[in-house]
Amino acid sequence: MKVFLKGLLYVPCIGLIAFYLYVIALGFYPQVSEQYRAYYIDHSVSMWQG
Amino acid sequence: MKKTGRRTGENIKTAATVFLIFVLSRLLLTFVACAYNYMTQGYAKTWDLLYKFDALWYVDIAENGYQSVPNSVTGYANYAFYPFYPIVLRFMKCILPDRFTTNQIGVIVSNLCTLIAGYVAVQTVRIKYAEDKGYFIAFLIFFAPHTIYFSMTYTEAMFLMFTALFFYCCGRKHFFLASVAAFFAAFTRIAGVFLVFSLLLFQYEAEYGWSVSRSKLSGFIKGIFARPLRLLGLLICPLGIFGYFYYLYRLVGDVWASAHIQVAWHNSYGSVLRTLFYNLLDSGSGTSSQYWALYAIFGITMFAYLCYKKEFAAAIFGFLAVGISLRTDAIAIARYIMGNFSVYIALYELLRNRQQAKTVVMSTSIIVTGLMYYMWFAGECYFIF
Repeated sequence: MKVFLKGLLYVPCIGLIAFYLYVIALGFYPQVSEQYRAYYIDHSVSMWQG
Repeated sequence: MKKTGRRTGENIKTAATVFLIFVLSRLLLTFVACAYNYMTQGYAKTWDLLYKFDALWYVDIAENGYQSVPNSVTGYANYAFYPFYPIVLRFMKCILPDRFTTNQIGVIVSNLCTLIAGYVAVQTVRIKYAEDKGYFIAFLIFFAPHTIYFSMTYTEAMFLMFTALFFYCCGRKHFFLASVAAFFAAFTRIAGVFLVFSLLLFQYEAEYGWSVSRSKLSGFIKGIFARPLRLLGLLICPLGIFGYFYYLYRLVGDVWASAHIQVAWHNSYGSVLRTLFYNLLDSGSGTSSQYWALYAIFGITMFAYLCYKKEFAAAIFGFLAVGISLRTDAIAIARYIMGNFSVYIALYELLRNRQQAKTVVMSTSIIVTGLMYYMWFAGECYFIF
């Protein structure tokens, strides 16, 4: 029983690791406007033109 | 049975003493508010006088939620501010009578958090120094310069409370509870996520002391994976903040939106040393920049002192939490330093056996804090922002 419960605790651990990796992966593909990308991410313009 | 009763009595006495110091500190705040009203011939209420700068953002988030598009003129957006504190304000607003404004609720929540932080801090220092009364650390939390933010609608008090709880739980070796406290700290301010490194150091110290070898390190790492509760504790720490990042992706389309939005407020210097150098010598905003840079040096010195005292877990949290802000700029760094529990541990360790220095620090703190409240009320003082 103890071993089973111990094993069960790994399930949320794996879930959390998967969630963190998923969020990090989403970070590489921002779904934003051109203006947003230029000002906030690439810093290629110096004024926000939202 | 007798021992438990004695301990309960002792805890009540501690709570009462901490409460008394807290009331004295808020008496100072109210006295300064009265003095300010007298000088300006005004009748403003204390919570209205405290309602400035970031407090307006937190009230906005609590009342209206997060905006999906930055302001078209300024480029600012309220998702730069982390969610747990506004969530609590919103929840409290739902259960309290309508006569309470969101700002008043913020003031109540922050003061309550400060009081709890003071009590937990006293209990934390007693773990290491059982012979100490430890009230000095509560005094510092209530009276030290730049602790004025603990009495207003700012996240600092809540963040301090959770970090104090984290260090208390680690001191008692309740590591899973410590990770829950770290989870809430990180949900309140992103700097809380660095508590995961402190947790690792506390766990290592509990097993091996500060003796480091390759076999002990590998045994420690293996131990983490072999004990799922310990692993779960470590993984829980950043959950709130990753949840927020995911929410931002859904809202704005950018996981790192809360970091990217910072560019609208100020440019980044890119490294701690560059920030210190430019703020000290080539200051763009005059003396306030130099003040912040010197305050940053004070903070770093305190964290270095913690290393000297072998308080590595507290030191690493201080270095990383303050370092992440300093990488961008030194703006408002005094607030971040005095909102970091590691500084209080360092100051306590430094002054606990120096009665004369303690008296000087206590007297100076009361005067400076009183002055800072006055400057805050006047609303023109950029350097305490």
